[in-house]
Parts: sequence; C-alpha cells; structure tokens
Amino acid sequence: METDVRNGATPRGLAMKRNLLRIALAAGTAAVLTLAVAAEAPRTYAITGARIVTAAGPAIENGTIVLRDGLIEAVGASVSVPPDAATIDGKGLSVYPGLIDMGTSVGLSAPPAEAPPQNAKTRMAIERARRRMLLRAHLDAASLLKADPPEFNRFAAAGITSVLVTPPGTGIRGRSALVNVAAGDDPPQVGQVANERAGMFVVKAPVALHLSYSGREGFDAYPTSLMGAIAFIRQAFHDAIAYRAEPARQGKPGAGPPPAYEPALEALQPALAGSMPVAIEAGSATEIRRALALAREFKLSPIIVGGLGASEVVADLKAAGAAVIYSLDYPVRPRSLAPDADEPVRVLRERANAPKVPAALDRAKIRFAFASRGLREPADFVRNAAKAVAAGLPAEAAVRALTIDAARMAGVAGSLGSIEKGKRANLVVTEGDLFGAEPKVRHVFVDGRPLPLRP
Amino acid sequence: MTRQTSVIRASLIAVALAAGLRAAPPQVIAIRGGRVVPVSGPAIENGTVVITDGKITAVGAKVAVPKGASVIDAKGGWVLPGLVDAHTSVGLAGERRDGPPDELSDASTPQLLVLDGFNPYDRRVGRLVMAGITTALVTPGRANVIAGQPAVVRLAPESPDAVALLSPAGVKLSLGEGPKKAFGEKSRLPGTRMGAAFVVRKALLDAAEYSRKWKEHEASGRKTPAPARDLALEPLARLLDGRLTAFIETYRADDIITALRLVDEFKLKAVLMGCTEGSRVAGEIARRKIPVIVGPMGVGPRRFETEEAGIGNAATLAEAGVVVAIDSEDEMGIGAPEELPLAAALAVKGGLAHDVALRGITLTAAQLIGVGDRVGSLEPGKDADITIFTGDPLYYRSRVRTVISAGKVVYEP
Repeated sequence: METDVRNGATPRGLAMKRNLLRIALAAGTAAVLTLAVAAEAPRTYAITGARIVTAAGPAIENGTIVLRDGLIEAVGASVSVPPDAATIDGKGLSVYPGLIDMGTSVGLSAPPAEAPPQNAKTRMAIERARRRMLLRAHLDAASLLKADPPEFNRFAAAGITSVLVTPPGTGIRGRSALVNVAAGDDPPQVGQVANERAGMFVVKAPVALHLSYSGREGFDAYPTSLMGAIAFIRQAFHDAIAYRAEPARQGKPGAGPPPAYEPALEALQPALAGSMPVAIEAGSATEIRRALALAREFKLSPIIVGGLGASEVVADLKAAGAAVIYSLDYPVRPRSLAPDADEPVRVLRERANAPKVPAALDRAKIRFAFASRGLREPADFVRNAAKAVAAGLPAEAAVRALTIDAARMAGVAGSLGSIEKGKRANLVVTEGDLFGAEPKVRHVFVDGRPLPLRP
Repeated sequence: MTRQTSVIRASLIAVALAAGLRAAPPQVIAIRGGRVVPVSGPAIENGTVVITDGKITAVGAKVAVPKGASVIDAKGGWVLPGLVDAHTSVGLAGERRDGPPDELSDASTPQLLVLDGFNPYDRRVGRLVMAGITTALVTPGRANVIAGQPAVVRLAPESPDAVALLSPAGVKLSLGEGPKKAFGEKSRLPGTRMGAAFVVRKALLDAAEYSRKWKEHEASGRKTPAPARDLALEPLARLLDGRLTAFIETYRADDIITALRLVDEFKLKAVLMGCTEGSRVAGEIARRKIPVIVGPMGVGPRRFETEEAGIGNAATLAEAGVVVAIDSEDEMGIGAPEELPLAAALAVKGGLAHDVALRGITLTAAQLIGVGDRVGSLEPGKDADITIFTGDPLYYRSRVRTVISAGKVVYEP
C-alpha cells in the first residue's frame, strides 16, 4: 500500500489542506474578492476607446470595457464609464482576453522524487519504486503549486494570465490544474493552518490526466523501452477497470472486505468514465496514432499534447474527436550539432513545417490551444504564435486558440477566455496588434486587478 | 497455411479514402516483357502482370494489357513478388540508446507490442525497400526469454495506417545464449539455460491458470465477476490455445531440443528461428512438422552461437522434410538485412533447391509469419507487392530495377 509522502505531510494534515483548498474554490472568486476589496485600492476600471478583440464575436473597433470587482461588468461600443472607475485611455490600444498557456510545469515545486531504493533487498522493491514513479495518476499539480511563484511575473509580462500547470515526469504523470498567474491579497481571516495562498491562484483543478510515454530514462526496472512504457500504461488502465469492478468495492453484500485502497487507480476512474480528458504527449504522426489507439481502447476523451505531426493525421484526430494542445516550443537545430553536420530530411521537414501545423488544424476544424512547454522566454509564446499566423493561421483563430478554445478545453469557458459581461476580468492590453512585429504589452489584468509590469 | 489472423484493417479514414478512390478511374499498371516468377507456380517467359487499384488482377503469358494502363517495361528483367524478410528488428533499433531493442528490465515481457515501438521512418526501413523487400516480420531481439508480440509490417505502406499487415503476429521467445548473457551479467534469473526454460514454463503455467479463470467466467454466462485482465498473460493464453504462433529463436542444437521439449509440453504452434545447428536435429524438427526460418549462413564474423553455422543447414533441414524460410536477421544472420537474396543464394550454394530458396524469401516466409494470403506470390487477388530485378535475384550481380508496394512504384533507382 502506498502512503502519501507529498511534502512530508501526514495524511490528516493533507486532508485538511485539501479541504481548505476546496473551500477556497467553492467559495469562489466572488467571496475571496469581496474580502480582498476592503484592503485594496480601486476595484473598478474602465478602458475607453480601444479596439476590443472579444474572442466571442467580431472585434469592437472603438469600444469601452468596464471591470468591477474582478468581473467584466460591461463591454461595447457605447458603454458609459461609471464615475468611480479608474479610466485608461485606450486610444491606439488593443484589448484581448488574457492569454492561456496550456502547458508548463513552471510554478510547481518538484514532486517527490522516486529514486531507486538504496540497498534494495529484492527486485520487487526496485520494481515497486519504478511503479510508484510511473503511476502517479493521483498527483495533483494544484497541490504542487508554489505560493506566488516568481516565475509567473514573466508570464504576466508576456500577456499570459492563466497557465495549465502540468505535473512533470513520465508515465501517468498526474492531473493538471488551470491557474492564474496572479492572485489578490490574502483574505484577512482564513488561514493559519494551510497553504491556501496557492489555492487562490487555482481556476480549476483537476483539469486533465496527463500521460507521456518515455521509458528510456531511469533505472533498470520495467519498463525501460517505449514498447514497455505503452504496455505499462495499458496495464494500469486495465488494473483500474478491475479495481472498480471488485464486487466488494461495488458494495455487493457478502463480498468480503474490499481490497486495499489505491489512490492511483482511484484517480484513473474519472478518465475511464470519460468525465476527465486525458492529455497524451505525442509528437510525430506515428506517436499521435498510438495515442489515439490508446484512447480508443479505453474510451478516453483524448487531447494530444505536442502535436508536431498533427497535420499529417487530421483525419484520425477528427475521427477520434481529439483536441490538440500544440507546442509553441518549435523544434530547433540542436546546439550540440556541429555546424556542418547533416540532419535527416524528415527532421528538417518537421522543423520547417512546425509553424504551419496550427493552420492545418484550423482548416480541419480540430480544436486546438497552445502550450509554451520548454520555451524559456514566455514572450516567445506570443512570438511563435505569430509565426503560426504568418504561416497561414487566421489571426482570429490564433486568438481563439490562445483564449476561449483553451478555456473550453480546460472546462472553464463559462467564466474565462473571452471578453463578455460577467466573465472573469483577465485581460491583456497591447499597443499594436498581438501578432504584429513586437507588440508592446501595456496592461495586464488578472481578476480585474492590474498587474505591475516589469520589462 | 491456415492461421487465425487478426489482420489490421484500415481505419474509417482509409475506408473513406478507398471509397473516394472507387469513384475515380481505377489505377491500372501492367508490367510486361519480363520473366515473371510467381513463385506459386512455374516461371513465365515474356509474361504480363496486371495491377488494379493495388491488387494483382492478372498474371500470365497471354494477358492483354488493359486500355489506359500505365505500362512498365520489364524486358530482360525478372518480375518477382516483393521479398519477405521473416525475421528482422528493423525500425526497433534506437528504442534504447544502447544495446538491442529489448525491454531488458525483465526476462518475460510478452505484453510488449512491437508495433508500439516500430518506427516506420527508420532509415534502415528505407534501405530494405530499396533492396526489394516489401514485407517484414519485426521482432524484438534475443535478450529476453519472452520478448513480446512481433508484427508483420509493410515497409513502404500506401498510408501510415497500413503499416501493420498483422499484429500481433505471434509471441517471440528466445532460448540459449541471448537471455543467458543479458541476465547473467546482472546476476538475475535467467542467467542459465535452465533458468530460461523455467521462465517459459512458469509464464505458460500462469497463463494456463489465467486462461482457465476466463473460460470459467465465459462458461458461467459471464455471471461470475470477470477476472482482472493481464496484458502479459493474455498473449500467452492465446499461445496455449494455438491462436498465436510461438516464434522461438534458438541456435545451438541443445537449445533447439529444449525448444522442442517446450513445444511438446505445451502443445504450441511453433516456428523456429535462427536454428544454426538445426541440421543436427533435423529429423526431430521434421517429425513435429515445425517450420524453420533459417538465419546464419556461416558467412562473415562468427558469433558465439554461430561457430558451427554452415551454408548447408537449410538444405539439410529441407531434405529432412522441414518447411524452410530464410531470413537476414541483422545481428546473428548475414548481418545486412538488405542482402536477403544473398542469404538465399548462400543456401542454394549449400544445396537448397533454387525455387525452394526463392520461396524461402517470398511465399514460404509470408506463410510462416501469417500473411501468406496477402503477399509472397504473384497471384490474382494478392496485394500488388512486386520487385523487378535485372536478373535472377539470387545471382550476385542482379540489381533492383523497380519496387512496387500495394500497387505503387515506391523505388526506382
């Protein structure tokens, strides 16, 4: 039986922490914000005379938007500015919904490492350690989130207001969370006990179950090959099916005591039930096909993460009803390569094709969003999206992918992702078009609160 | 050869694609003027082969070239079915950074599907196509005792969906030096030949128990709770039911005998691979009607287990009545998979009949790996996998002129 070793907390402490998190979430932004209001300076803003790209309809060329208490109160061409609002003259500025980066591990503290046990007595001990490392369906990114991660400032400066934080690692990595890059001041009352501060960033958790096949690293324990890693994941889903089907767990009388509780197998259930999407890392067309085959086998609702070869398999993606989180960490020539070293044509072709893939997905009407993944500079996120636009992706489609479609994929489209009355006021205000040459981010709002932007 | 095949069919998309093609005028190719060697029957001088929409539709001397067909002139050349390599690891290398493409963490990993590790864009795959080889059985290496489930792949597929002709094609087992070395180095089971046989027995007995539980569940009309599915035991249970073939790679005579004992014990449907010293126990193999895919020819560097290899092995086995195919297996065989015809030529030099050797790299090979109904000979209804050589493919100066896979010209030097 596996015990939870996260942060060294006792199970009791953890349960408490989880409860608090849940309370904070359930109470919702409204409550949190109301509490915060007292402490903070103006909570009503208006941006006037700006071009407003709503992602929910046509752009409003000379519009006004009013934010109050964290929400969008009004938006339109003929909206009057309330007297208590701090006003920003939007002349020459464009307002977009806050951008959503659908994949990074930035802002997370490292999950508990599973090293091969020192002086392991038996093979079994080593195999168990390996299994624990690869089967972490129950690992929640939200629980790894640092409070006020300093890395988020640079995301904000690039216009990114929400990110899907994804547990690092390989195998069945755990569940992602959609989080804002900033949160207001602490509510005065709650909290001497737990880390509710990080919870205030969370928009939704869990969002999706994340898988990646890579059996290559690690120590000498099953699996060490790609074939093995895939077989491992398939077996884990079969185990979860058997786990659920246990007569005792089904509450059948006379079935005896239920077998041991397994958090990882519990955590796979929503994915098997189809109520939680499963995000599978897949780059090449071959990998994407493998991922879709896995989704078919277990009736999962698949999201392909990476997607470099997605344009070759649009028909398969369409047939599977899959969405794509496309990596804007475009492949580059490895630095370790000698200047005159040859590379396979396929690699070169893939590299040249990388910015064209989103346009192909858009033409095929496959829902997609973008992820920064390994990009070191968050500003490159928008720059690389602009490259996709230059390669044929309509700018409106690019905006949707960066905002409302991402929100939809994360299941928060009701409250985030577009500029509409009643939605959370996550905004980015730029001088010049977002996909133009060097757009300047002038203002960023998260939950109606302007963030200080350090260049 | 009758075989329960679960041929991987094209997905919805390919069906839609095919429907689209049907509306278009049929793609007809006629190959004429060459010596047509169907391998399923006698050679036809100045014969014609007609291909319609990826399938062979006519083969013969007096076959008219349909109107509108694009014609390939094979004058002076030999027209053969695309060659079939019955044992290779091509496309799996690079699986691990070092060493063979095996899941080396465990000696028994029947749950692995080769298709999950096969990279159709591996450069070596292209090299095989250039050598006129259009179909291959891809298996893991010989380090694991039970290494996984091989796949029969099309090396130049018409679409990426059509890579697999058959998956799983069976279960791959190895006895002898391979596992002994790989696991002996780690001081783990099976560091000995005895250990390897034990691993097989243990796994098959577990599978028998697993199979029994499932059959009980089925017999109850599925009223009892279903047993938990085990991906490792499932293919082994199918092996025990004779629904999958055991491909057993062995080299030394004593290991072959161990393999035969296991085949007897568990009544396996088996094909032996490698089989360097098969000639020593040819009678025993023939008596059990077990076919052999012969690997090492005793040419090139000799490995530990191929000391005794000789070019007469295939001939001796065939004389004893064993059905023989020939492979080019990279590591232990001739060393260069693209030289498959050369391996067959060496077998002929060792006494094997020319036509038997040719079938050993075409039709017989296809039958042994379970796709004899699809590829391996030039017969109407079969997939249009065709290689045109400048002459007899077993002659060392012959070269490839044209390679056709599923009705498409995929290589012309």
